[in-house]
Amino acid sequence: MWNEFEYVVPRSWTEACSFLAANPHTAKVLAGGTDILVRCREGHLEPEYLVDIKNLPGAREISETEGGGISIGAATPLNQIERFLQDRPGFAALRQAVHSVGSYQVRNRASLGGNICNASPAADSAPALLILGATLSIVGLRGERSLPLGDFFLGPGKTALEQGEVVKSIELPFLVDGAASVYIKTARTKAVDLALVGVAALLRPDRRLRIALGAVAPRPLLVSAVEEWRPQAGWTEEALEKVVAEVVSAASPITDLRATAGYRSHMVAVQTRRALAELLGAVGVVVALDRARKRRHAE
Amino acid sequence: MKRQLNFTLNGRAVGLLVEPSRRLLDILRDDLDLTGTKEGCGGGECGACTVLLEGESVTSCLVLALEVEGKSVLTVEGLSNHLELDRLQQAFIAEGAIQCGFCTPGMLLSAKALLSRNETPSVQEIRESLSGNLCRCTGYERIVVAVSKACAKET
Repeated sequence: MWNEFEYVVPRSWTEACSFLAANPHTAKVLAGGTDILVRCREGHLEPEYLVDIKNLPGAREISETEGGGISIGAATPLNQIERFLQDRPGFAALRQAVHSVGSYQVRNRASLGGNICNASPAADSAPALLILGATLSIVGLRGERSLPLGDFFLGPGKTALEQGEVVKSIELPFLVDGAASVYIKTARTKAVDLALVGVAALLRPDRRLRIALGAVAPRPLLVSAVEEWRPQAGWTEEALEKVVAEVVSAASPITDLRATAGYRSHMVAVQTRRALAELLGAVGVVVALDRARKRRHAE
Repeated sequence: MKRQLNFTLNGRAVGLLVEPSRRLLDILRDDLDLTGTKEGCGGGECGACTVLLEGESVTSCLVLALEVEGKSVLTVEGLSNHLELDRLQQAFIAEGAIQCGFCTPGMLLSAKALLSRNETPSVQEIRESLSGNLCRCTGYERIVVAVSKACAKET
């Protein structure tokens, strides 16, 4: 069903990097395996070596950092992340995003690092991590480096990882109290499906807003036009629709076997409105949006 | 090249030689003759191959055999306590929650994992927990009822 490969268990991160550097075209990193083994099975990948990083120090650990942020080992299973974020409301977008991946069984294996490193434009965790300001800790033969997630994705399946480099952890900075975030996924079914459109949004108590999109561009996209954006005249209907328009124009969806570009664009607008409604509701702003929604229904 | 694999299967220590590219599902069915675990899609979508690894449900088609070195695996064959069926198995029989039976082992193990983390799940929680297990006979209603009744029995 797939080619024969060797299973390699490195004893340290350095050993993993050395092995990958020595076998750049034939060795692949294995974490949860829920993506790479499917691709092997379908014949898209024919590795000679699978290098299992999940038992390396810290690979499956999630903890609060000294600065009040969160550090997530690259091979940490999604269910473990979901549990950790249960009582951290500001990080709701990431909790909802990892919950929306595959089935419960798959999320017991699938890792956050894997979701990122596959560099799928539709990766559910990516928009959530982008609004939360994630950086990656990357280990290589020359030591460790830190890279903002926004600089990591180069295109479908393409990342900024160099030969012999591995993502060791995902770092989330401190999030101010009272911030609210949400991830809304559009898919064909309620569970076990890929995103047709993913919208993640973060609203801080000072009303600063961040929005990121999945599955509507060659890579997960932080919408820079609305980043750190605050409406001059408060959250009026006009202000909301201006945000929606900026978000829609940032997207460049394509038509594929799962949805048309037109449907995706439409859903970007719909889900952005829903995300804003939820977040504004969380900080007590409801009137303007309710009126906007009623008017649209009446039309 | 074959490598030695040692793990705990249904409470008993087992050791065997396996090719690194073989899946947990393969060695369960082909080498250890435990054919209760089924292969449906082979891609982690249908849940027919669900087993418990260290007490948590996983799709054994996406786990390499060598990844379970030193760990404990529970398959449907290990669910009953000798001749006494697990309360989930009893409830499935009592409620007629089995049609062709192909999805049943996976359903039982997903339900087992659910009950181990939540003794009193709501119907919604049961449905969501079983959403990674497809029943092509579409006999979901009775499966959900069976899991609910198995919980009720416990409490």
